Amino acid sequence: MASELLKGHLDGMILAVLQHGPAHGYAVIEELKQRSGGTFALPEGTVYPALHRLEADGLLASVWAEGTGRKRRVYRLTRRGRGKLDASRAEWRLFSRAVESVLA
Amino acid sequence: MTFLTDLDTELVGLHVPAGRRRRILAELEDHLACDPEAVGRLGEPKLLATRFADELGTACARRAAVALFAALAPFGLLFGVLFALLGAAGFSTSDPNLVGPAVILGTQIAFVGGALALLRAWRLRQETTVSAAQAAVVRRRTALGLVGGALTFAGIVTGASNNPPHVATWFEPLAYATAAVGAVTLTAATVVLVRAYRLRPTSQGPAAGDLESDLGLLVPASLRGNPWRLAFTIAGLVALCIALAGVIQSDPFDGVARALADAAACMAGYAVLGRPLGLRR
Repeated sequence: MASELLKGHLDGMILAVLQHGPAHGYAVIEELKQRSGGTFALPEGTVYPALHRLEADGLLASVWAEGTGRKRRVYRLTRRGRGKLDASRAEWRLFSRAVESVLA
Repeated sequence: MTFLTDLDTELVGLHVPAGRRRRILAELEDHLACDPEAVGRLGEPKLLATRFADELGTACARRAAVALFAALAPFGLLFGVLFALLGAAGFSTSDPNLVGPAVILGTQIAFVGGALALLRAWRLRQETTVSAAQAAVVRRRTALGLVGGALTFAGIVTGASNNPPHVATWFEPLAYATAAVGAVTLTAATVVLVRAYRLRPTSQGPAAGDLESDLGLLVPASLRGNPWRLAFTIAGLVALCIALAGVIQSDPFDGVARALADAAACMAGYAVLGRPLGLRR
């Protein structure tokens, strides 16, 4: 799928993946691929800057964790992030219904 | 690993702070350890580093504007309380020993800079990345607000150190306490602004925009596309408010004089700083 189409929805999808529990960057990317059935094979370099920005905006929080002998940055959703996710979902439903009704 | 070394070099070139760089490299090292083939999917180091700078620089610029507001709000509140208490106790608040030019100028500059910075940050709140020009406007407006805050701080300290004999004894400690709050909050906001100046977006994207684009639909149709007319209207409204305040305070001549001075200051500020502050194109 064209990465331009994904760009506007990347934040919402990252927040949605982290809704189910904390995860590190690689796991977030894998989960995005898996949950989209491979449709969202997005450039992986777009996810890390987005994770850092979402944290800077207070939507995510992160800590270092030791796993498999390596340091990993694990991200979790904040309360603000949860609110933003709800808003993104509502916005997407409205948008997709409107597009569907035009295209159908 | 060449990829990580090249990425580090690019991040250094874009002034990404050392702590942030270490974190980015550690995360990507872990990513590549999970999937060594991913190096091709992460993109070119230069592109990836630019993306980090653009996204983090955007967040930093926005945060600087919010930090300025968070600094000025308690400081302004205490300042207001201080002079309201003086007025309520029957002391004159127009004594130049208490309220010198630094306070008069500083409060207005801080208000205008803070409001403009917050307005632009609010307008760009949904953007994942903004252009270098737009981020520069947010930073300059924030810097202006900080200069105003610093002037106000200096004015309050001067007023307290003058310690006029006809003023209540509690004025001096309360004024110093207000200044201390201002010193702490303004220093914190300055640190955030310095970070925003170091880590800047590089994207050449949209131009800086103007006040009309900030205010959007609030600008009447008759004023759209004519920035100078919009500036004159705003200066006129400011002057009207000040003149009315003079009438309410039973000093209409002083009110009119201050209104004219403020309107002239508005227009002079607009002429000199309009472009750097993104008020006109």
